[in-house]
Amino acid sequence: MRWKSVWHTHGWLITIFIVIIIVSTVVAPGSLSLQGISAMSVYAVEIGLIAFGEMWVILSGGGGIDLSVGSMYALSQVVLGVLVLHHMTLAVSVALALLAGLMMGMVNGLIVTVTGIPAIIVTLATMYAYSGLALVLTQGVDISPFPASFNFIGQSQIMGLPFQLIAIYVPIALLMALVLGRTSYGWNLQLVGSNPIAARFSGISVTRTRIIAYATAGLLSAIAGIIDASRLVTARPDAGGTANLTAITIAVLGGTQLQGGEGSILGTVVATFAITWLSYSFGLANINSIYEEGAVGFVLLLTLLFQHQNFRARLFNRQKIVP
Amino acid sequence: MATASHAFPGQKSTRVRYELILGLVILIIVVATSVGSRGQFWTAPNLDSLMVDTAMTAIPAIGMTFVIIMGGIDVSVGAILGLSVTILGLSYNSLPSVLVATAAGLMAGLIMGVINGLTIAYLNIPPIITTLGFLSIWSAAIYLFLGGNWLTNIPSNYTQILVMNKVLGLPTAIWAALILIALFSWISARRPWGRYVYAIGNNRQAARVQGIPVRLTMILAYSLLGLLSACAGIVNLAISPLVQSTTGSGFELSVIAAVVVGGTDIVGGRGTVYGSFLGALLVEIIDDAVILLHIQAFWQGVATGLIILVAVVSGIIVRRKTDRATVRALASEG
Repeated sequence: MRWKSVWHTHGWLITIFIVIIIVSTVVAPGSLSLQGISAMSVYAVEIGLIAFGEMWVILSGGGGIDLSVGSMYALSQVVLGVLVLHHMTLAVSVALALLAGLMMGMVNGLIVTVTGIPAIIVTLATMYAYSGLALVLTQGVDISPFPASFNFIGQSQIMGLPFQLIAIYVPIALLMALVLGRTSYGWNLQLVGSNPIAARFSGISVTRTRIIAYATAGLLSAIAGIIDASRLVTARPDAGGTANLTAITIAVLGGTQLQGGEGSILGTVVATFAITWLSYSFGLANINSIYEEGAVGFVLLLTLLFQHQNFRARLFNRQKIVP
Repeated sequence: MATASHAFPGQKSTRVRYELILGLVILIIVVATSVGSRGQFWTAPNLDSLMVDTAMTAIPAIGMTFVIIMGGIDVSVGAILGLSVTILGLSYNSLPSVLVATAAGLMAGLIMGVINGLTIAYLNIPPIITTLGFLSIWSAAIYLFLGGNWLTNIPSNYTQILVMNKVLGLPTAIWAALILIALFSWISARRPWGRYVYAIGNNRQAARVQGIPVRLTMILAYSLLGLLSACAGIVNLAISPLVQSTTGSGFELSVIAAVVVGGTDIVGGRGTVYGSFLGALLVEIIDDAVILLHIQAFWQGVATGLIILVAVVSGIIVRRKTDRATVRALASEG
């Protein structure tokens, strides 16, 4: 009975995950090994954190979506780089970079909730503004010397696994799952996403809940940006070019409903590793990254097709649900 | 009937006001640029390239206007442009006939538009997500065809006809854009399909109940946008006869910016085709000014983002006033 319901809600995710692993193993047999999994988890951490933020924003409903995650990822690591370049201490620079991410997300949230402009347009505009600012701050050049003490975030290991996986990604995933399932903010978020009017009548501030969701996305993008800067010892103003598409794909693949109010951290984690597996094996087989992008787009459309109620009803021969 | 005639002039007057503001902004930028560039703005080469660039953005902006009025959006325009010129170039390589190549390119754009429209109309997937998915698929397809190479064997007729040929002193490309603007302005105001688009954008359920063919109208709008994106691709070939895997990438944002700046409501229901033309003109003049005034190119992204935001916010302010005026007119009526 329980398995049947798991299959009902996550069946397509499991199917697509298995298909992706088969495809990846065919493309690059080396990817299906403990070493391969450990290596790809390095990439999974960064896009996974961004995808958590994207999921949070979509969950908040009202057409919530964030196209600027890639730009916030780039701008926050540039802020870090510029501060380090100007001889600020590392701890202060990291703190300010995180604050920058939080502020950028908050700006998104404020504009979306206060003006009522659709999130897609607001974040499209801020995507341009943030990545433009990243280019202005760096004059289009990568910032590269970082103090050696900074390297541990992105390059060290704990028990043979990447530091950022054990010390950053897993705790954040657990924390977010706890917040979503066990705290009032998490419940508010789900209610605001599925029924904002009911939420308002229950005395929940829709505006505040959504602004916090956007700010969280900004903060998570900044964390991912800092990990990236530490891993490559470079702050790149053009980082995260297609991170928004990938993050949306991961969120949707992980079972987040675009209408808001429904989504899970576990699903997002599984989807993150599925997509990373795909791109890692493409990289291993030396296939141009543009094909990986195409494959991601294809997976996205396929997932949405599967999520579509009427299609699934027809496929599994259930009663047709007309919206 | 009397009520409608009261509500309509109210809307019309603010429309004109918004477009007046837009015209004024264009005028200010033109004056500032001509002073700042010490007359370089008014040289014939600059004006010609400005006109052709405007045509390239304005032509797909027509289709985008209909799509956005309908409550949709298409972010795959740049990729459609890229893939259709790739197919155009490849077909010219295998069969050197300009007509066949042009037809192949336009057909490719139309087919991609139809695919977008079918997916959105029948699967109920949000248009932004659908077109985001197709954006990456078409980009991958461009790379699949080109493999990182450039296509340089492009017929020179395009440059000759669209840029070199002048009618009344203006390049043919801008005339083509103006004729299309006039045609589709008429269609949007007077033909059934044009009115269906507004009806769907205002209230899709009501439109369906009234017997408007919602799905067909949607498919047509996205197909039109696909076809017009391919047309913009041909203008692009006239500007620079070269196809590479990055051709057209990022172009969708100029088009969306032009439409939104032109006063079309991003949530649908309101907008005009000629407004989008003014929007395209503004976006291109700003790009031109950035170059002429020697502003660092890095600022262009910041400027584009800010223009979209300012335009959307001012549009909302104007629209709130309109709604209030409409309500007042209706209240005094009844």
